[in-house]
Amino acid sequence: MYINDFSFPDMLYGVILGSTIPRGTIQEILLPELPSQIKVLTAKEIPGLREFTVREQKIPLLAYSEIRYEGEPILLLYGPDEYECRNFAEKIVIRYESDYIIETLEQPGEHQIAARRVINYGDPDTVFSGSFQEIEGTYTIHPKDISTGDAQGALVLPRSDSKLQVISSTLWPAHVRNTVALTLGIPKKDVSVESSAILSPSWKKLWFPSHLAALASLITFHTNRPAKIILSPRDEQTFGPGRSKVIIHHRTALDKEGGAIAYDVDIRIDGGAYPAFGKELLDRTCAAALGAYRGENVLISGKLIRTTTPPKEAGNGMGLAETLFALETQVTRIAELCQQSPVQWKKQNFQKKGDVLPTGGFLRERPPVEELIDMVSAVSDFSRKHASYELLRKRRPSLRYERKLLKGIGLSICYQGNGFLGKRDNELPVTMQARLDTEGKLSLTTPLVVSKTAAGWKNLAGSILEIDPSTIELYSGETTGIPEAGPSILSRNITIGSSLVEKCCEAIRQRRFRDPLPLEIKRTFRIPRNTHWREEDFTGNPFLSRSWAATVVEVFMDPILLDVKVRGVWMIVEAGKILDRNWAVETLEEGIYFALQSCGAKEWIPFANPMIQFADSSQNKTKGLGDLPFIGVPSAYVCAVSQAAGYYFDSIPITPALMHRYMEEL
Amino acid sequence: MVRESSHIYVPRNLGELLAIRKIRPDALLFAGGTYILKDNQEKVPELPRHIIYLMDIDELKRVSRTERYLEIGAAVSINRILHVGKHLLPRALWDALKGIGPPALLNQATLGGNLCVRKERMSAYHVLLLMDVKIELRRTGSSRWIPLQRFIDLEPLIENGEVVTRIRIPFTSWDFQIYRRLQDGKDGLTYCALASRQKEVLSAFTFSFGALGPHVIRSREVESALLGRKLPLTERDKQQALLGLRQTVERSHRDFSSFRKDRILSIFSSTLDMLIPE
Amino acid sequence: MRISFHLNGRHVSINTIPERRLADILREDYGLVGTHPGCYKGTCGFCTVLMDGNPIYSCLLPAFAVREKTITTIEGFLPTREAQEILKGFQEAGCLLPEYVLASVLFPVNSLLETTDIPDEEDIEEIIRYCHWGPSRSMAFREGIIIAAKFRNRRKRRGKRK
Ligand SMILES: Cc1cc2nc3c(=O)[nH]c(=O)nc-3n(C[C@H](O)[C@H](O)[C@H](O)COP(=O)(O)OP(=O)(O)OC[C@H]3O[C@@H](n4cnc5c(N)ncnc54)[C@H](O)[C@@H]3O)c2cc1C
Ligand code: FES
Repeated sequence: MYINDFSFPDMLYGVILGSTIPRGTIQEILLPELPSQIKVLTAKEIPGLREFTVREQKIPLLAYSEIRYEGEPILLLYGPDEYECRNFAEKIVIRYESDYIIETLEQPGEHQIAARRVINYGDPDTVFSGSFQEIEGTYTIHPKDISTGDAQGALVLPRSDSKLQVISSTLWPAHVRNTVALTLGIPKKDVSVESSAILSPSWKKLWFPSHLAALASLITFHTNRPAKIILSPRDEQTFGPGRSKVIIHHRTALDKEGGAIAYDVDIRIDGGAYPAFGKELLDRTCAAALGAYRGENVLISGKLIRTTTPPKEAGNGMGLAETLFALETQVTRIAELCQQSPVQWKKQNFQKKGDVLPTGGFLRERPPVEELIDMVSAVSDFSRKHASYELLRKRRPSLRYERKLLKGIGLSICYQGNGFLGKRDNELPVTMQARLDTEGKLSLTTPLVVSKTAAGWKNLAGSILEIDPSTIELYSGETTGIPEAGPSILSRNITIGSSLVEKCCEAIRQRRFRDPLPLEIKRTFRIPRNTHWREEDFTGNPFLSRSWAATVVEVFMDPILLDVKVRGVWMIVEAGKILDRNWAVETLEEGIYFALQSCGAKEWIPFANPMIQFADSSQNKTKGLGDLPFIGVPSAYVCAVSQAAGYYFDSIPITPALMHRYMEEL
Repeated sequence: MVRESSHIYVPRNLGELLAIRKIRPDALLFAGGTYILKDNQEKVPELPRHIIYLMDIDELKRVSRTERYLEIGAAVSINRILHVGKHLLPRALWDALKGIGPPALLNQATLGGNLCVRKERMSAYHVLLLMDVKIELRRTGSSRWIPLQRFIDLEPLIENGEVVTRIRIPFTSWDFQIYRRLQDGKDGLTYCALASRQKEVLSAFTFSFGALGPHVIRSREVESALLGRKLPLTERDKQQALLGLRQTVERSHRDFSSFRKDRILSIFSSTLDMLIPE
Repeated sequence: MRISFHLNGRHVSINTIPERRLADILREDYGLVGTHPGCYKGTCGFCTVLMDGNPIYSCLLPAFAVREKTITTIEGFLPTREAQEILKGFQEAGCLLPEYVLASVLFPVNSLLETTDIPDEEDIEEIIRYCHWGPSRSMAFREGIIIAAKFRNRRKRRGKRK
């Protein structure tokens, strides 16, 4: 059941009222005359901590006096009728003293800097001053909110044993439990959390559901009745966490042959008013800023900026989508300006095994980039098309006078960095229990929250034990009684969960005909400590593993309407052992669709579907792949549109109005 | 309860509708409701005090066809109009109606609702405007047919007690039809152009652009200057037509963004290029 | 306002605020939670139901517009042969439809199969264009529609032979 589908007798509905100003202090709250069944809660009625914590960041549950962003929750109304509560909420007047300060990412003051990260390696200054030429570009990612459909919310039930039962649309039940317990000031053991069904495991379901669950719990705490908060689509726009806008400036020093000899990268990330996950985002963005390229003289400096915008979710790829979009667009531009094919340029500048990373670690395995780039070029006919579209671009008149369909093609190479950088939740052990009962029925139990992964796991277990996957039962989430396991995101379900399914089922297979049924197996996955990474001084090899993709996007563009149609997408993926091919393809196809949407693409030429292939992998391990489209597609798309239009675009999304602005400026 | 509920009138026939309309001239006419509820995301939408629901009136749900025209009741769903057939409906009208949205929306949305939106010109408006469509307005005891152009210019739109009941679309044989609706937020545009060609001569030509809101851009001078011209148009004809349109836009829509102005001109210019002998 | 209508084969009657949306009435008064209002503005399609046999968005339909109409929700449609054929089509294509999206996929596909024996690219494209479920962009989803059409045709042919 999805969160909005639950309903209990005697239930109360909560409605959140948020600030209408971005910055200031609350002066006065004027309540209309309320009917007896409607009540209002403020920060004063929070019995425990008034702030909850996401990583080290504290976020107020309800604003006490200070307002830091527009929409910041101030009041919680509740009553037996949601409609009635919403009506009364509209009648409440809040008076503020406004600071009239809007803190932005573009012109941040020193006090706005929430965190910094600098990576300095080699001697970039000297190399830049002696270089043959420098190429610069500023790349901006304007996040586009893509609705996943299912509602966000929480439901809390009082239990007869004076504990609280929370149902939440969360991917991180342990965080919900901690948040509820701390804000109510009750022991963690008195809170049990169940995850509702989730349509799409989006980042919005990571920490934000904890906020809603804590608010709903507050109602139950004061009334001892079931309480439900469901955000309406409009609420979601007001309170829902947004994604970070990121601005990345690249300056690359080149030698005579056009090879990159030094990189200078400046990264600015909008952390919102309360930068939850901001530090991870900053660290990952900086650590991956050179992608698959060799860098011997490097200066990477990143800043996390506090602004008067809502707190942020992390977003697919968690920093890598942004940083690799900027990098890949920059290097494609370099290749084209140096009159080289992007394939050739990239191949010459890739990291090799044994290279030292800017963060100091050695590259222990050769990245499979050359094979991937060759494969994707072959299936998409990239090199021929790229050369011929280049020729067309150079020969044709200005876009203003062009009538023929314009064509462009772009290629990117990217990786998904699996595992969080630091220790934290990533190192919590994850346990799975498998039971084969006397009738031969298999059940799997895990604290990981399962949404789409379910089908993949069942197929895997089914194939190992030769049983019908549809008969397998799966119990997941907090209530299984298995200790907490960290958030079920960043491909943890695939990397960890799948390997546990495999281990459990292999063990059952070996014992099945030897030992009597029922059989119970328990396996725990302890994440190998990333001994190659030292967080304290930010040195070493930051990711536990990397999955790779080479992506080509081809577009056609109408020169009159400035409309872009996607002609084709090709993607070659190396993600270790692929457990369920159909499921992997579907995940990638869905990702490609959302990624293209976030770039501003609206149309596909019918049946020009993504074409996905998997590169043979020598590795026997499964690695995550769900974020690859979000990391690889944007740059390939922007490069393709740039080639078609004949202007170098450097931000996403690209809209016809933006193209027109470029035409006017250049 | 803070908000009072609306009072709903559900007339079963035209007579009842006109009678209710007479005593409640301020009531909101509610056809498919898809426009009325489009941007009303509240859980329970806030609607005016009095509402007259039009979808239970048989007389407003009829489609009839003669040799000269197609007559459509104001409450006929867009999907039902599409079922008249692609080969029978003018191509530009088909494209306009189909482009409004998915079948589920078109099962609810009506043509009357599409034409009666006050704040902006909806999809079907531009096509029907160029096709010299007539609208029937009824009130107790009287009825009148007026051209769509006049209907939209009326202030107030509909006189007290009136209702749009039928829409009459003449069958004119346009052999060149273009319809485009570009949804780019505030820069959105709707465009329609219709032409007839007799061998190598342009015998009829008309076009209209719609921008967000009620803006409509037409130019009779440009249209008539092109009539009788030989096809394909000469470079001089095209330049003059473009200049004429540019002046019209500058005159009446100076505040348009340069993007929108350029877009209008380049779409029009490409239409002129497409006008070649049959 | 008292409103009676036919719901999944039953004649029902409720007293409600006339402006309330059908989507909410179905969920809150009848527990038919297979209708999922996701946007309340006619774009997501997750609230689709059949009204007098035609798909419509129940979020755009106020209670007063439902009087004496025949409404079929996904719960009422699922047990039918038509629904089962479509589900089987998607299953064979390897495209698992989550419960959340059933109404937004099954009703439009059913409408298509009612009017077309062999859906062409344009028909399928139209369904996908308006489908707000990410995986509808997958090859498996297209396949699903094509296979469902085959099941439907096979049954129709069998019906004719009899
Ligand atoms: C998601 C979405 C997308 C949409 N996209 C488009 C689009 O691309 N193009 C487009 O054109 N529209 C679009 N619409 C708007 C709307 O669906 C259509 O314009 C539709 O044709 C309106 O018809 P209706 O019957 O629903 O009108 P209603 O909403 O019932 O009424 C619209 C207006 O007309 C008045 N009215 C209705 N009937 C009469 C009558 N007989 N006499 C006098 N006044 C009357 C009403 O009082 C109201 O002011 C969209 C709507 C949604 C929800
Ligand atoms: S709720 Fe989205 S279309 Fe009805």
